Amino acid sequence: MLFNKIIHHCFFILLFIFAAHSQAQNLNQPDKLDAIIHLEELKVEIVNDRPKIYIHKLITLFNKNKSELIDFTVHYDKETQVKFIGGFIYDKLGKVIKKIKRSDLKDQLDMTEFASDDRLLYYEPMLNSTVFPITVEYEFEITLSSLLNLPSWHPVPGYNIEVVKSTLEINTDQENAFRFYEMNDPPKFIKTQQNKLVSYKWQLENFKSINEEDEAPEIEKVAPAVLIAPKKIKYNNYTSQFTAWNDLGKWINSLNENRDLLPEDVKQKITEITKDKNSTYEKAKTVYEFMQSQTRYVSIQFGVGGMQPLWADKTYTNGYGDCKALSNLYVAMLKSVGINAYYTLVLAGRQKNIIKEFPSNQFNHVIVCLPISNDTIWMECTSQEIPFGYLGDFTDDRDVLVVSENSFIAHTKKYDYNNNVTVTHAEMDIDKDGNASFLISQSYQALSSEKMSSIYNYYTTAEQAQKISDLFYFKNIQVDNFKFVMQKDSIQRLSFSARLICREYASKTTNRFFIPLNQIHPFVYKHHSDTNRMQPVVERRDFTQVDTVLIKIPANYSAETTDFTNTLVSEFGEYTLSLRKQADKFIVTRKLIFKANTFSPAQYAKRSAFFKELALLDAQRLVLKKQP
Amino acid sequence: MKYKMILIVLAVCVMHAMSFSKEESFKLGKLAKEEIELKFCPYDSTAGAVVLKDIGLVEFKFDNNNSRFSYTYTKRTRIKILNLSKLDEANQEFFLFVGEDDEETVGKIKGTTYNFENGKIIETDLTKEAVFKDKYDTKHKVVKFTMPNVQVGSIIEFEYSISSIFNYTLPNWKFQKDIPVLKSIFFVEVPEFYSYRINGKGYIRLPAPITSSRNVKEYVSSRVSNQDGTTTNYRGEMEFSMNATIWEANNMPAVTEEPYVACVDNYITQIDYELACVRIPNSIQENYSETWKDIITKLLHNEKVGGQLNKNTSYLTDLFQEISKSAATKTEKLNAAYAAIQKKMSWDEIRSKYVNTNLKDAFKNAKGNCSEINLILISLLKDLEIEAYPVMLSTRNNGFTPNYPTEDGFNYMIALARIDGKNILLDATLKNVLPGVLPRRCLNGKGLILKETAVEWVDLNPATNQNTITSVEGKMDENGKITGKINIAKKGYEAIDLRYDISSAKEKDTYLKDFEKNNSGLTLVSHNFQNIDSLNLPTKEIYEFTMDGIAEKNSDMIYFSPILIDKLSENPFRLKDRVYPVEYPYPFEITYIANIEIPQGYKVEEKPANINLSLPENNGKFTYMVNVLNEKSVQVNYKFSIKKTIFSGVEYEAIREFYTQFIKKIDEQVVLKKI
Repeated sequence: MLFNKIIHHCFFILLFIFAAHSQAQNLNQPDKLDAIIHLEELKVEIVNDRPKIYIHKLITLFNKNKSELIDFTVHYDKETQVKFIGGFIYDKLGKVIKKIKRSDLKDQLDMTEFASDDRLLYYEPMLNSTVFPITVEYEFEITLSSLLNLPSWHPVPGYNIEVVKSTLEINTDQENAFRFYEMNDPPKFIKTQQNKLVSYKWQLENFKSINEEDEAPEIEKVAPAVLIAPKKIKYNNYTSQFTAWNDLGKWINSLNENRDLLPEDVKQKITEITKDKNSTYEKAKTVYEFMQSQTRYVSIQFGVGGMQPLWADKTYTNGYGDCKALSNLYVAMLKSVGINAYYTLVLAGRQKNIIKEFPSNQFNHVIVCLPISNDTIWMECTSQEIPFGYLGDFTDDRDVLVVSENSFIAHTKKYDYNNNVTVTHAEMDIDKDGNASFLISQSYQALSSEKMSSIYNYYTTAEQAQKISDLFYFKNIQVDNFKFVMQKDSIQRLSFSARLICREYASKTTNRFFIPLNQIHPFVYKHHSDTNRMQPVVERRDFTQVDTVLIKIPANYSAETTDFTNTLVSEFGEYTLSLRKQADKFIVTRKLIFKANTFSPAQYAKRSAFFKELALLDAQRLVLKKQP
Repeated sequence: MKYKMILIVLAVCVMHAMSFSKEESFKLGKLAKEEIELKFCPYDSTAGAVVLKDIGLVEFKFDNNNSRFSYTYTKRTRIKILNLSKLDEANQEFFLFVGEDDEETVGKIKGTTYNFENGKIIETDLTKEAVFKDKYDTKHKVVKFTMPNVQVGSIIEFEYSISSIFNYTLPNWKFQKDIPVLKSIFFVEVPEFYSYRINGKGYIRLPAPITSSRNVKEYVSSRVSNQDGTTTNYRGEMEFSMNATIWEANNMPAVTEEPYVACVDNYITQIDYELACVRIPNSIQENYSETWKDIITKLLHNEKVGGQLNKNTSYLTDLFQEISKSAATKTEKLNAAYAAIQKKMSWDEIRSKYVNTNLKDAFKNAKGNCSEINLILISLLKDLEIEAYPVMLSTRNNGFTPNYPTEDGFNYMIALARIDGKNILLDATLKNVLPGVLPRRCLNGKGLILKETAVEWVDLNPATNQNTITSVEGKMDENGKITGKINIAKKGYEAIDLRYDISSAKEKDTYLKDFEKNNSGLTLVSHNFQNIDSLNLPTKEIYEFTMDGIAEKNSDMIYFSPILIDKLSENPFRLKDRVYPVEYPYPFEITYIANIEIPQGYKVEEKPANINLSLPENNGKFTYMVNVLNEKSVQVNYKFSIKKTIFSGVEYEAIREFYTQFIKKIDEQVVLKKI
């Protein structure tokens, strides 16, 4: 889904090197360290429209965890020139064990997209844990095809990495050649001038590693970095200033110009299918579902740095396209019935945040934005299944650039614990051998529905049965008569019902049955004794679970467990579990809420204790005793 | 795949054009009514798409311009998309081999998508903009195409032909794919000059092929080499036959992924053609098909295998002298040499029977593939006057050991030393082991000893026992918290893994953390590892621990399972039915003993029943026993063992049930009651 050039150019820069090998000395692994960056030099030279980038790295790796630091890969295309200057591999004594020549590098077509002209130039030092520590040095020079995607400097590329010295140097002979943005307090830069050449230099020295911890913020939130962007967009014949988001929007508009034309018969078809629909919403929905039925996603990336969509009519005829082509087609289809929707750039994936304050090409995906009366509808055009107006966790809750006459930053829909709800109702019958049969019906909503909906959408029936049984924690489960109902509404809602047979669900002794109260989604807390928490704790979960289970027990048994209600409420979550006997049945009710949040390191221990208790309560069983 | 071309130098004027009418069954033909109406695969209602027809044709023809035979490989496929999960069948790709002087080429790719709307068939043709060709790497081009207008219910079909002169092996043909295949036909026609050996494999047997032959007359002008080195020219009309074989399979099931399968390719029904010999009239027959003896001789003379063992070994002089000084007997020398190479050399994780660089350079770089490392070891052993040979094998993920003479099915090289008639297998890519232990990847059937004088095979199954013994001593307080000591002794591959897992401070830390995480409620108070460097002894892990939340309290009752750690909680065999055999790398045994003192003021009211379960023919065994000692402690012990490595599909249900019972039992509860 990504239009790859953008992504590649954003981070390929991290992957190269430069350094002095005298520093690769006898190294014994310091505790908890994955790697030492002895030296990293990133130089950007802007003297014409083709910036030159020079990279030089010297890195020691102590284990496999960060092997990507030394598996160096350059993504390039026909417009990019890559010059490999040289490289070395050193053993732990600092002795050269291999000199890497240009001919040692592999040159291969990038197969992650279905079709593109992107290639990879790479070398894998082929690690084996027993060789550690290993030290690698390399040096590259790359000439980019345009100023659009200047590299950024991330001198601390991960946790457990120590940085001895890392520098960013930008040299230019032009006034106003670039802008920069500093994140997490990098050291102050030094500006020097020699004749016409102005040089900016950042240098990070002796940066002690930050220990990796569970549920810590992403390294980008903590480590210093400098982003760079041009002050001008120059691409083929197009030139404009680049200081505001609207400047990027204008350029994208120029790339999309006249690519939204549709043949008359398609326009007629759209008019026809929407003629009975009264509202903009209904019309847009009808067109969206029509497009979904006629197309599929295929990643084909050619033309203007992979940034230009294919013509709408061509995409329609093909019946496939990438995110740009399909979004462009949808916008064109809406336009043909007088609805204005907007092509929208987004940074899709796990990392949600672009730097809003720093207009630059930070995106990797395209969606569509449709403002209607009091609301804004967002649409993902690469999926054949997703409901109209719903965004999954791929593009939710983030700043995006809506491309229009006056392009602007907007924020996509956020789904929280009020939306991400799973409601379960189950009737459980335990027979005299301890086998259980469930009639279960569930409703999954918003992000809580993603797992189940991908089972529903992407698998064959046999695979579905398998995946469903994987989703539950029951042992020896058999899933029968399962049924899905997808409500195609602006929030994804999936109903699921099934009969589940669990052989020997109750664990047994001669006289007793032990029946887990919650096996639908048991809360399991896998912890280890982490006593000295350094980083904040990020709670990413944001959901509500509501369960009701009716248990019918076999004759001749009575409960040893008495009725109870347990409640745990804190800033870390809310939980209730109760057991009540009612006539011949037991009623179990359970509710669990987590809200996304960030907690200070000091709260870590308290939070662990909370989860430990929660896990204990959630593991309770109904104990039945045989009547004599 | 090996790309070789075997040339026949023939200058030929073709008198009779090689025209033969291709049977209708080799064409996709018109869409049949049943194909249009098909809604699901008749024998697999769950399939997301189905191959309606898959036709492959390999046809030799004479290439006038270059005076040689080449062949075309034509593929014609028709697929029906049944649901969204398989829309991607519309994306296809294949590779073309690029040799030094010649390369494979592909002709026009034709394709059509059929959609069905209101009783009408709508055809959309594949256009050339949807075909992408690019250089993949130095040896390959990649060709991709994507079909237009594909929706659920569409039928897509496509056809392309590849021209090739690389005829040592012909294209591999698989009768099975990840979707069901209704009809698969593979047609191979070769001139009588070539004879191929056909190697088939797979779980489903193919019906016998249909063969036919036809005569072709041609005017030939050829020059052939004689035995004495001279050449003779022949001119004239030559009649020869073209021999055809047609393989056909119907209603083939989809290939599925299942756990405990070392190499799924072993079970996919497929055919390979490998050139056996070339007979040109009036010329010497050239044999490519070989006996095991031929293969051994060839490899021993190959510069990338045996040739390396005839080289100067002065780079080993230092090691040689060191070992000669310190070690007296052959066994001591072997141990020292093995340890020295293990220590010196790092494996680059490449599996190959050939060396990539010469041994001296690999030694200098302290790094190499399995062949380089083990040939260095053999060189050193030979210098030390120990009888030693290379042994060629196929790793588990590479497929079964070939059962006919070929070198292609082998991908790995180890060493064998022979002292006093006893064989010792060695693989110096593996660290932390003594001579005689091979890595798991090598535990696959037999290895071929590369020894000039005789054809000898060596069994690769591990001789040592694989067992883990866990013993727990604990004391429970009245809140159900357990405090105590855990002792784990590991022997065999588990011990190798442990030595590997704790090889650095950081990894040890991760190992301990994972141990806590994987055993809910466990907190390790102290740890102590023993025998990590004593490779001849089982490893020992000693932990002091506390455990919370394992026991459940309810008024005056306490319930707990006395199996505290390393509990298998999920049956690895989830599928109700299974086609393929279950393969374990080796037999093993797990023993668990625990003694848990119950809190004061409580008595054991109930305990799980003892059990004794076996797989048929005692190929697996599970015993479980609980005792109450002096009304003060609960003593439990179980033993779980698997005694053979391959269980057939018929035994699947039994083995699945065996695991079910095992998992259930180790979760059973002891009931304590306040007195």
